[in-house]
Amino acid sequence: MPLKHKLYFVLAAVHMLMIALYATHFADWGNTGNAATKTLATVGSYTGSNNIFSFFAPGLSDQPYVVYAVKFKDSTEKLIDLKGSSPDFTNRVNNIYGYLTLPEARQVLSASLAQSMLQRYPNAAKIRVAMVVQQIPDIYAYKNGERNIWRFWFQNDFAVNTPATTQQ
Amino acid sequence: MKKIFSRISNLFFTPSSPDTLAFFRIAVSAFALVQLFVLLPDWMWLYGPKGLLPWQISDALSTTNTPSLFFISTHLNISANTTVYIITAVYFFSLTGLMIGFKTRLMGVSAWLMHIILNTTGHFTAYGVETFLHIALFYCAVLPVGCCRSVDSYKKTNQIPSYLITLSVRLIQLHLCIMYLSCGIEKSLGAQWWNGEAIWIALQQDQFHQVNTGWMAQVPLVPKLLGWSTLLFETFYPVAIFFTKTKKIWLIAIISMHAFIAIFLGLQLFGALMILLNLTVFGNHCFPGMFSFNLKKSMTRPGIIKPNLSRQLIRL
Repeated sequence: MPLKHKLYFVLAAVHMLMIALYATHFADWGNTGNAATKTLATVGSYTGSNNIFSFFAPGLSDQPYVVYAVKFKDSTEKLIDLKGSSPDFTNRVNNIYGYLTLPEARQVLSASLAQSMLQRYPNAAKIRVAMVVQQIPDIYAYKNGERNIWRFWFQNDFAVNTPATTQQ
Repeated sequence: MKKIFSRISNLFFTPSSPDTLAFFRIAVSAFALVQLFVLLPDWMWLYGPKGLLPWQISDALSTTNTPSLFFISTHLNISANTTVYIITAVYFFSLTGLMIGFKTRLMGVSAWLMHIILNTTGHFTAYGVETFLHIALFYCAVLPVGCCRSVDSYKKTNQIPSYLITLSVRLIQLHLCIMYLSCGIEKSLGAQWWNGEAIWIALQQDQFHQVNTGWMAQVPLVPKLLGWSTLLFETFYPVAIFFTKTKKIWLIAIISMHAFIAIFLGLQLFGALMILLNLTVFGNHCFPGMFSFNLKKSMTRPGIIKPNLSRQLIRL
């Protein structure tokens, strides 16, 4: 076997080791600021070896959802449930809504979503981004008559060319 | 110890069919093209400069060092919309080239890089399907996936030793094994997968709700069994998929699990990609001869050293 091919085996072993390490949450082990860890993270970003595989794990939490209330310049109002042309687009939008549960990301993400609404409805004077959360009763409570409920979480109001106001 | 070493050696040096890599390449690129067309009507909302998340915001919140559309646009001094159109067009042509195996390496690298650029910009909207597509495109870029059933294989005289084909196949197989093991362990750490609540909640949530499953509340054993079987098939996947007596049932079970996800949770693209990855990577291993149509011809074409000959070369 030529040296080049032996090197391929070594690279494959290193790649596998990285996949295994990151799967065990290597990035959370300790100091992530040093040069070696940063290099590994960058290599991982390109090769896909820096993923943690915690899909639906260890469990599922309540589902966040966003509804938009748009008030137009002629004082008419419209409630909008953002949907795209495919179910996959909706899956992706739901992914953004998941980040809205993080308080530090809430303001900037809801402002971004409001501006995308403004793109769709240029005549809007005011846009409300309201997050609600769907709570599912456990299976035995459901059997006893409880049903899924939507709870208000927060809302951000954006008036065109004026700062946002938040209510929680 | 000697036995273990011998088994590892067998795992990496027993010749594998190059068709596995060819079908992997075709499946991954065809899937990516389908995904591109499915998302195309909403493309600018996902990746456009003024999409759901403006470029400046998605870049500022990005945690990776990979290039984004914003980076390309500012560094190459191209207008924002033109950048999206160019990257999308290059992505499309790269995937098409990769699928037919024309300049496979170049097309693989290009498709992988374009996907990275798009995914860096749209990282807030990306979910499992992008994770696995990124991994799969990386393998299409670096592994000899154009070794057969490609335009290149009819022209090239480059010979690829069978042990490199085997190494490539094992690399993807082991990646899947680590992924399922990790998924199984992480799920088993939560009580929801043991008492059936995870299945119940997933099926009840509006974002996944495809069919009425309220009847499950009358038969709580059903979600419980589904949860247990998920833990079983994911956690023991790395062992069972290589064990002669269980490999067929495991592959069928894991494909059924992904089909369930696609149908009942509405994650059609994710389910389809995982089914394709499992089928192409383990199909021939679990059901020998699965890709064997015209195999004899493809194995003797230029570009591939016959396994037996390659073994002799290794011994030499």
